[in-house]
Amino acid sequence: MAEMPSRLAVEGLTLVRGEHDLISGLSFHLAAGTAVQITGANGSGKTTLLRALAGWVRPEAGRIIWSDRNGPLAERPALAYLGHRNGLKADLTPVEELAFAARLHGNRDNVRILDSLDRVGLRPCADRLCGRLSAGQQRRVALARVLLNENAVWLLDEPLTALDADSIVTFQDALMQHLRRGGMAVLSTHQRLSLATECLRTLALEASGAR
Amino acid sequence: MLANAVVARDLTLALRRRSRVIQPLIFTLICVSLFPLALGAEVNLLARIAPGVFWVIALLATQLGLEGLFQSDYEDGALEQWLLAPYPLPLLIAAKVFAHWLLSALPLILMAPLIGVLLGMNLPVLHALLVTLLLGTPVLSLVGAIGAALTVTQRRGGVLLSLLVLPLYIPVLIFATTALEQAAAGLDYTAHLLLLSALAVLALTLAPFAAAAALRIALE
Repeated sequence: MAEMPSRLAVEGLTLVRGEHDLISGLSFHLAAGTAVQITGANGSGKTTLLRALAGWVRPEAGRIIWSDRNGPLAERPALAYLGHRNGLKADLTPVEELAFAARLHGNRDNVRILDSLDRVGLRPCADRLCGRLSAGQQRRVALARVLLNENAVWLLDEPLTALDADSIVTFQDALMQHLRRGGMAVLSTHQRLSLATECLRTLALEASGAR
Repeated sequence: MLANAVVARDLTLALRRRSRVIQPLIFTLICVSLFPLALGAEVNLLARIAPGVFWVIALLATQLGLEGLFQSDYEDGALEQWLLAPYPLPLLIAAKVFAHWLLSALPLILMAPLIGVLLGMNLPVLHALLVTLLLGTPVLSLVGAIGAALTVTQRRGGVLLSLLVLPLYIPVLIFATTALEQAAAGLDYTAHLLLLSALAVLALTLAPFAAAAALRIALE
């Protein structure tokens, strides 16, 4: 992990979708080694909040401040984002996809690619086309991509969609390991996560804004 | 280099769906062969209109692959992954446009001598055709990328894309075809080539940035 942000602070964040306020005046903070689980009804702005944290949606009001030990960072740190779409090409294999993702982050270590496929239990499917994999397997390839570059911040949008029970356990282990190394994570999911309570907070979004 | 990886990825994808590579070629061949059928096989007439015909077909053929340039990456979420990369987005876009050019324009350029002979072009005109294609087609791909980025959220954006982009192709078409006319008349056409080169430089420096801005808006 090149730069290690130690804190994320969100202050009075207002996000607008079309004409109406999706999230208004949301504030929370997150320290290194912890995760925040966003819950809320469909359409309450979970995805938009994650995209705002990634820097793709401009906040209507409020600030998102990433900081490290020396104070606020000028830019958002390198992060891993998993959206509800996996970002995989049906005509490429998991190994090709991960190799490209590694290159995108300036990383050419091929051992890590197989290693992260191993961690999600997809080593046997490494050379099959993504289009031939099941929905759950594709999701696991996308999760392997999150593990791949060891980014300090993970933003995960419904990471458990289509995963089977074993994979959910694997995912939680990986997340816990990430947090123990001082990483941060913001994830939206409705499932109850069995992480150590000191590591996990929940943030409930309401349709009219945050509590 | 990352740009290599982007190009290699797009080429791999194209080769796994070969129809996408072959379609523009077949399209060009069919269009070209329609002209002698429609206008009669009078060699003088064909030779006179051939450069213009070829250029119009080149415009339309480049147009074919454009719609999908960013669309699939947008729809399957790959574009979001690009935005996470510590590389400038315009660089990634330039690499993608280069891959598009390799797949749509390069085969056309390689095919040009054959088609030129079919249409009865003489050697100086054929030479001029190749040079104008080499200078002009990158502009088509680059300008097209702006249109493709602007229409990426439209599911059936093909017509809109044509409306946006084809008018912008007109300067290229004019300079290229006048150069070919000059060549056919045995005159010097360096000035037209210089203008085409200027367009190419302009497109190369501005289009990736414009397309990047459009994609960022699309993802917001």
